[in-house]
Amino acid sequence: MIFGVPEAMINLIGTIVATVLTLCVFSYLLGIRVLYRLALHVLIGAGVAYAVVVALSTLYTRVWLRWTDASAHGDVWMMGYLVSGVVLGVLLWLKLWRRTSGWGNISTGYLVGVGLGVAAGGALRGTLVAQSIATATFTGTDPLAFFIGLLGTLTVLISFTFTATWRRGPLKAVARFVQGLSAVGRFFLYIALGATFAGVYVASVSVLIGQAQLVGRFLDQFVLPMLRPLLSQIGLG
Amino acid sequence: MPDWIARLGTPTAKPPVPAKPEVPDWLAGKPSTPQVTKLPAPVTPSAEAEVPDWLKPPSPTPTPAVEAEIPDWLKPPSPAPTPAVEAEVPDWLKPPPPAPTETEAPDWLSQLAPTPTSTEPFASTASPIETETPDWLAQLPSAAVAATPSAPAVPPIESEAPDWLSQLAPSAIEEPSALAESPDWLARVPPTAAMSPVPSEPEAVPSIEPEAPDWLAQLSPLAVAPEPELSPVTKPAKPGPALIGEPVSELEPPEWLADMGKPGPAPAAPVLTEMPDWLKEIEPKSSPAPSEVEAEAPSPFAEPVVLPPGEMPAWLQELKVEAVTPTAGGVARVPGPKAAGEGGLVAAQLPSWLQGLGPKEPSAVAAPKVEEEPAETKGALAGVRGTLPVAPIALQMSGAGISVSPEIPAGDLAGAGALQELLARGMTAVVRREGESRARRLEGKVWRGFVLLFIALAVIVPLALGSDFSLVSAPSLPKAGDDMHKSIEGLAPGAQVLVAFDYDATQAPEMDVLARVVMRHLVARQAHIEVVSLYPAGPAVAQAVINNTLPVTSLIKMDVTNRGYWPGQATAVASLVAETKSSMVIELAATPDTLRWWVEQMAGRPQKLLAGVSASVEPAAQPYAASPQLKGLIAGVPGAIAYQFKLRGTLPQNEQQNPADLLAPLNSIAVANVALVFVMIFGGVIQLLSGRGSPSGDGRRRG
Repeated sequence: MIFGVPEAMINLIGTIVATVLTLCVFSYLLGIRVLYRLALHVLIGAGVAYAVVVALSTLYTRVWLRWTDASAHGDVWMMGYLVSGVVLGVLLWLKLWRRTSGWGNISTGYLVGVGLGVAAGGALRGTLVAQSIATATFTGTDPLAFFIGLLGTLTVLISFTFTATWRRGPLKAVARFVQGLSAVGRFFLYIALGATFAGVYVASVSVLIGQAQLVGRFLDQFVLPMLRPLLSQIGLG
Repeated sequence: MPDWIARLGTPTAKPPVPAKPEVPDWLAGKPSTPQVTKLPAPVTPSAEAEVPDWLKPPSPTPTPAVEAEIPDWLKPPSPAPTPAVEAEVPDWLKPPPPAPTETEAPDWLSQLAPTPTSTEPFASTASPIETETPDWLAQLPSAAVAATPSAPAVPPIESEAPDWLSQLAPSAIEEPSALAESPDWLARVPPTAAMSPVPSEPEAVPSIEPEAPDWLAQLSPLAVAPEPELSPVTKPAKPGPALIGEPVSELEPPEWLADMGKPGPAPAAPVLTEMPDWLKEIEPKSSPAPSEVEAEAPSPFAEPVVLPPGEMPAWLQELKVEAVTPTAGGVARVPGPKAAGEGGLVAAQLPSWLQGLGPKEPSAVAAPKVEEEPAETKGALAGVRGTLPVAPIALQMSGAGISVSPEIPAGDLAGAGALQELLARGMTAVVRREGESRARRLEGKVWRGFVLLFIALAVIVPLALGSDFSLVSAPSLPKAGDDMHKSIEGLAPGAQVLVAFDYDATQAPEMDVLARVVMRHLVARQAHIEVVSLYPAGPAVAQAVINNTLPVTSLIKMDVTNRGYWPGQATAVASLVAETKSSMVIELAATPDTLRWWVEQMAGRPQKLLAGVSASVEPAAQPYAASPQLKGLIAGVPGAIAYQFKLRGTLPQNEQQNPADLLAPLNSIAVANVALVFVMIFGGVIQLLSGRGSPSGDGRRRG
């Protein structure tokens, strides 16, 4: 029961709404832009409203409930931690006015600094170093795959080299070699982009399948039971 | 300044000039040739004899030779002018008072009179200086001093003078107004050289210096040569070569100079028709009243002028200003300050004759045609009409707008019409191309609709057929998926697992399949599940999956905690990783960003990281799965279905789904893939057969 409404009923309403909105989106194929735009507006509006509710809920659960708990237990550090967060949040609100916008830079600087630090450290440790080590390390299970992976990684990196442009002298051969590797790297890039496109297509088809199954269930569970008596009367049931 | 004016300025032997700082540069800058050395100077014992014939009043019985050589414009006016002309004659043109005695003539006038000794060697004493003297100056006295023995020295040149110069004199005589507007500097010129016998050497005339500029002091009777320059200003005349800046040959005089003294009054009408506009504008059309004459701009050269009674042209009468004593009855004084003293020029001040070029009073130059063109309102050309429109040109060059005249010539209208026609043709062509483009767009819409409908049917028809349609068999789980199954299968009952639902409703139809499979396995392992999301809408999607993970009739209990939305992206991930007590983290990612955040922040952590990603994220997730930073990976609906088949042995029999129902999406995906391949091949063939080449816009343009 949710707000006194049975969960089955809520699921039914949700299914009906979802089906209608899905059909509205599909109406784009028929050239009916109005229903398509209506579905988009409903989706965006509902998403923003839900985000606002989630933000307020998060503020309640992350700040107010913690504050009451810390104040009940006399946890000064937690209270100070929460107060500092609230102060930073209030300072960020001051950016709405020109006179006080400078105070908001404190919160902005804190957010940007922490975000960049976390992201840069994670990228360096989790992607650059880890992937470089993994690429250069032969695990011994599949030498061919290892060689292809190593070649693809190096040539893709070389393909972004634009300085090997010597056309005379002894460096001409070096430049040609680098350009050849760049061509190989571009070949790997094309394969990767093709795989990405294939994945996007499969994902789109999967979404379409999911929505089609939703509509099929709606028809099977609600529409056909209502139509069966009528169809049986006319001899089609 | 024309060269001929500059040559008037200084003689070869330059006398001291007291007022030199006040003389403008244009007058003092260029030395002039001593015309005096070349001029004939007849010496006469008396005043009557000293006055050259060309300055004498008309004699009732002139010698035929003199009559033949004196041009008409130098001839005195007719003794019986029309009453209308007399009425317009100013006072200064009226009969002068009794002639002054010759002894009153200043020295500079006496100096101007050539001596007999200078007359004789006129032709033979052609010194190098003579070559510097403009010939046109030498030509001038040929008529004026015709009575002198040396006068016939230049008859051949006279025939070369242009007509417009020969027409100057009659107009000057016939129009008294022109006399009234003669430049003031001529009033300062010594009237005649025959006033007194003076030596022709310029060094002998220091007395002139305090009263006149040096260049005027050097003037001899031939200094009346500026008359050709004066005439265009005050009288209608044709433009001559010298007036438009052509260099005057010193060795051979131009034609217009040769005809200076040539008699040949031409009709006024042809002259007017051939006259340029700028000359017509400055031409006095009517004689101003005496009051207007007095109201003219003051001139430093203004001096009392004694006029003979209608015997000479006014400009010649003015030459006597310095020589005669003005009397009350016969003197017409031109008002004007003597700013620079007697005869001096005011520094940085335009001469009055230049100022006279721009009539400040429109009434003085009232002419029908003059009013058609705008007059300059300021500057040295103030009042002059027909000048080049400097201001509009300057504005145009500076980028400012130009006022468009509403009167558009017919030729311009015709050109504009032709241009408009061309533009209309272009518009027509654009419309035609746009029509073609519209057709092509319609064709593109049809093709796109066909493709979409084809793929939609390929997706829907296998689903509609259900279990009756079996195109694919149960897929095998890849190694990464098998690793994921093993990892979850190794969880102890009650183990805490953190599941991140990092997707929203737009990716839910695909990601929900993955999430349900993972949640089923975790529930089957009796794990404690904590659900978080980096998306604001993620918790709701997660809750829908939680609600549909197991059938309502299922007896399995789930231990799931939805912790909601975690803002901060990578920072939130770091915070979650730092505070979680889970031994396993499962990332359900629809985008590569969230997967990368989790992988990067989980680096070096003891927890296992598994991932269920969308098919579009699989290329980005494979390197992490191979590193192996990801301990397990399933991608897309096919991976989820393969995982589902793997779970069949794990879940209870009543919790297992029908394999045909599991394969239905795979059937649709397989048919859709085949349909897509068919569309690509069919489209490529059509593209090649149609000859459009590349399907891009270039191919259409080529087509």
